[in-house]
Amino acid sequence: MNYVQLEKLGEGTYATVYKGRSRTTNEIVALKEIHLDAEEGTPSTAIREISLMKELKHVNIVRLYDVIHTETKLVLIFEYCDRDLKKYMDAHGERGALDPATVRSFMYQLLKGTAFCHENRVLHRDLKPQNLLINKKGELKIGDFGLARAFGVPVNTFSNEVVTLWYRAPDVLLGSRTYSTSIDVWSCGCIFAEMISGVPLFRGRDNQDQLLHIMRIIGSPDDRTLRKISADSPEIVIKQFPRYPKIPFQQVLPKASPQAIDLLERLLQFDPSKRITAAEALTHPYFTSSVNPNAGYSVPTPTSMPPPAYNYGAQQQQQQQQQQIQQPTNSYQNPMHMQPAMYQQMGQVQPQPNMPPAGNYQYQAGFHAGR
Amino acid sequence: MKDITSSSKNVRTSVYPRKRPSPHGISKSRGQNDSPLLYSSHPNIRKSPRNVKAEQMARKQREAQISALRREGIYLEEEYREEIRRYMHEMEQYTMCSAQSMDQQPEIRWHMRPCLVDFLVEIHFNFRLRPETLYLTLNIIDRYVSRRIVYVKHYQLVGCAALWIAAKFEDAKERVPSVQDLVQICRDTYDESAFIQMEQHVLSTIQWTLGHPTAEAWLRLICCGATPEGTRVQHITRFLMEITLFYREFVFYTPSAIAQASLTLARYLCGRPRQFYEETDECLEVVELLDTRLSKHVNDLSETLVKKYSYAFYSKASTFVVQYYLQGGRFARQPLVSLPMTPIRSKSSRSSITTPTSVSTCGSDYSDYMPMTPTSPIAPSLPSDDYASTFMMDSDKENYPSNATFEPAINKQRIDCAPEQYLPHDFVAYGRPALHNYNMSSPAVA
Repeated sequence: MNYVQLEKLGEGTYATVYKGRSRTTNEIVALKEIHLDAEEGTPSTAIREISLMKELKHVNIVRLYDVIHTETKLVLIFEYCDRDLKKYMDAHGERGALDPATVRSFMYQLLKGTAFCHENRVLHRDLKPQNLLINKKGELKIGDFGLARAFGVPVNTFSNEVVTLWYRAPDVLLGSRTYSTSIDVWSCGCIFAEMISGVPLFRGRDNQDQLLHIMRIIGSPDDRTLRKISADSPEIVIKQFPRYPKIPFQQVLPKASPQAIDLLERLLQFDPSKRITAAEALTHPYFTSSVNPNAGYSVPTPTSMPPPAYNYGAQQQQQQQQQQIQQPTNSYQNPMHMQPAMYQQMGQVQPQPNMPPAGNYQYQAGFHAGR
Repeated sequence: MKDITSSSKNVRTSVYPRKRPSPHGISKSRGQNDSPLLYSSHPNIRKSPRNVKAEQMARKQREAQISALRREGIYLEEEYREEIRRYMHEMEQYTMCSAQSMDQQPEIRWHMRPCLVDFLVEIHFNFRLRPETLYLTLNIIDRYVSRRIVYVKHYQLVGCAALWIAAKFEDAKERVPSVQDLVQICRDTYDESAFIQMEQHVLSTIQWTLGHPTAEAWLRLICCGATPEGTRVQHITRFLMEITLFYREFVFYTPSAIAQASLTLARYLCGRPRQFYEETDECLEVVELLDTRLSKHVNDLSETLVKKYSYAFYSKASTFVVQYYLQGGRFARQPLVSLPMTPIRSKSSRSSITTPTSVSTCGSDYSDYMPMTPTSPIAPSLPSDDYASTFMMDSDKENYPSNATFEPAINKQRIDCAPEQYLPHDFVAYGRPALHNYNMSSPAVA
C-alpha cells in the first residue's frame, strides 16, 4: 500500500479510521478501513459513500482521494482533518459553547457544504457534530456519507431510519418517507443551537421522546400544520400530542444574537415545507449583515478571535471595513456573500462596484464532476 | 477534474435556458410570510404591468400544481431543480459509454445484448427494484464493456454484478438480491466468489462512478415540469425507454434525449398535441429510430418486456404500442411549417404567455384515464414473423442472429415464483399470439 498506517483515530459502525501518511508525498491522510463480508460483497453504504463523495468536490466537504479495494478490505483515503466538531467544541469552547464569531464561521461553512450537496442532488441524512470535521485552518468539512444518497426530482421515497436521533427532523420522526433536503436543514439547525449553547438542543431517548423534546421547545404544532404535514406525506400516522407552548429561543439560548435566533427559527420549522433551504439560509442577515450594534455581544477583533484563521473570517473583516466606509448604513441590501452564481439565478446583474472579490467560494463552489 | 470556467457555464445556460426566477428568488410554498430576507425586488429589471401579471399567474398556477403533487406525496424540490438539471446534464456526458469500443469486443456481439437485457429485465422486475436500477445496470454494463474484454461465458456474470451494484446504490437494503440469489438465478453457472470478484472489478473499472442520470430520472423531471403528463402516457414512455436498452442504435444517445424522445412518441401515439419546442434534433432522431424499429421489428420485441408492460398497472402500455404498430401506424414527422409559436422560445416564457391553453391541457391530462378498449382484440391475425423478416435490412446486421449464441442461464423455477401477490393476474394474452406465433407452447401465465 502506498500509505503508512499510523494511530487509530476512531471506530464507526462499519469501519475503522486510522491516521495515515502517504509514502510518496508524506501527506497526512485519514484511512477508513471497511472489512468486506464474504456474503454481501461491497457494502451498499460504501458504494454510495464512494460514488457520491467522488462527485462532491467542495472546500466544505471532506475530499476522497483514493480507494483501495482488496479481497478482504476496502480502504478509503480521505483528506485529513484534526478533529470533529464535537471534540473541537469540548476543547475550544467554554463548556462546549463556541464564541459567536466561530459559530458564525462554522455555520456558514456547514450551510455552504450542505447547499452544495443538495445542488448536486445528494442528501447527507446524517449531519451531526461528530460528522463535521475541522482542520487546522478552521475549515469545516462535512464527512461520513455512509447514509447519504442521491435523490431525484421529484424526490422518491426513502427509509425513515435515518439521521442520529437527536438531529432527526420531526417529520421523519413521525414516519415520513418522502422527506427531502429539509431533513438536512433541520440537522443544521440542531447543530447551530448546539454550537451556541454547548449542549445538544433536543436529547430524546427514543423516537417518541425525541418528538416530545422538540415540541417542548418549539411548541406543539397546531392541527392545521399537522394536517398539512400528513397531507404532504400520507404515510405519516398522526397521534395525539400533548400541547406545549412555544418557548422563545431567546430564553433557551440567552447567548444568541437576535439574528441568530431568527435564522434558527427558520431552520427549525416543524413543517418541512416551511423550513428554509440551505442556499437561502446563506443569504440570511445573520451572515450578510456587518457588525450589529444591537447584538448582545461584541464581535471580537481579528486578534482575539481564537481559531478561525480561516480566510472566510479574514475576508469578512476586510469586507466589513470596506462596507463600513462605503455604505455605512445598510449592508443588508448588498449581501456580501451572494455568489455570482446566485446573482445569475436571480436574474440580477451582479453588483460590480465597491465589492472586493467574494472569496474563495466563488471558485470552489462551482460544479465539479467527479473524476 | 473538470475545469468549470464561467464560459462553459454560459454555454450550458444558453442551451438549456434557465427558468425565469420568480421575484422571490426561490419559490417554496411559503404562504404569505414571504420573508423580508428574500430579495424584495430587482432594481435592474424593468417590468411592464403585463409581464408582471403574466408572471404572477404563472407562479400561482405552478404553486397550485406543486401543492397538488405534494398531496400525492411527490416532492418537487423546486429550489434546487435548475441546479440539479444542470448537474444531470454534466453527469450524463461524463457517464456515456462508447459503442465503437464495444464493437471491438472479440467475443460478444450486439445480437447477444437483447438476451442479456431480457434476462435483466426479468430479474429486475421480480425483485421489484426501482425503475432507475435497470437503466443504471445497463449503463454500468456498457461502460464496463467499453473498457474491458468480456468473454461470452462471463457476459451474464457482468450483467448480474452490474445489477447488484445498481441495486445497492439505488434500492433499499432489503430489496437488494443476496449473492445466493444471484447464484441461484444463474443456475450455479458462477459461484459466489465470482460475483464478489466481478463486482469489485466492475467498480474499479468504472471508477466507482454511479451518478448516472437515468432516463427514468429525466422522465420524472420532465413530467413534473410545465405540462404534467398523465399516467398512461408515462407508462407508454417507460415501455419505449426500456426498448431502447436492447439495441445498439440507442447507445449513442444521452438518457435525456431518450427520455424526451420516448415521451414525444408516446404522446404522439396517444394522440396528444405535439410540443415542438421540446423536440430537439437529437430527440427527433431517437424518435425516428424507435419508430423504425417498432414498425419493422415489432414482433421481435423482448417477450419479457412486452409481458411486463402488459399488466394493467402499467396501463397495458405494451399491448397498446404493439397493436398500434401491427396495424401499420407510423410516427408522422409533420412539416414544421404550421408552428403555433416560435420554437426558440423558452419553456417558462411560453407557460407564462399561453396560460389558458396550458391550463386546459394539464386539466385534461389529469382526467385522462380513458380505458383503451382492451375488450375487443383488434387485428388478431396480422402477419407476424414473416412480416418482420421481409423488412430486415442490412443496416441491422448487428442484431441479426448469427451462429454464435449467447443464452443466459436462467433458473426459471426461482424467477417464476417470486412476486405472486404483487402481480395482478390479468396479463393480456391476446396481444401475444400475433407477437410470437412460434411461442404457442409457452406456459399460460398464472
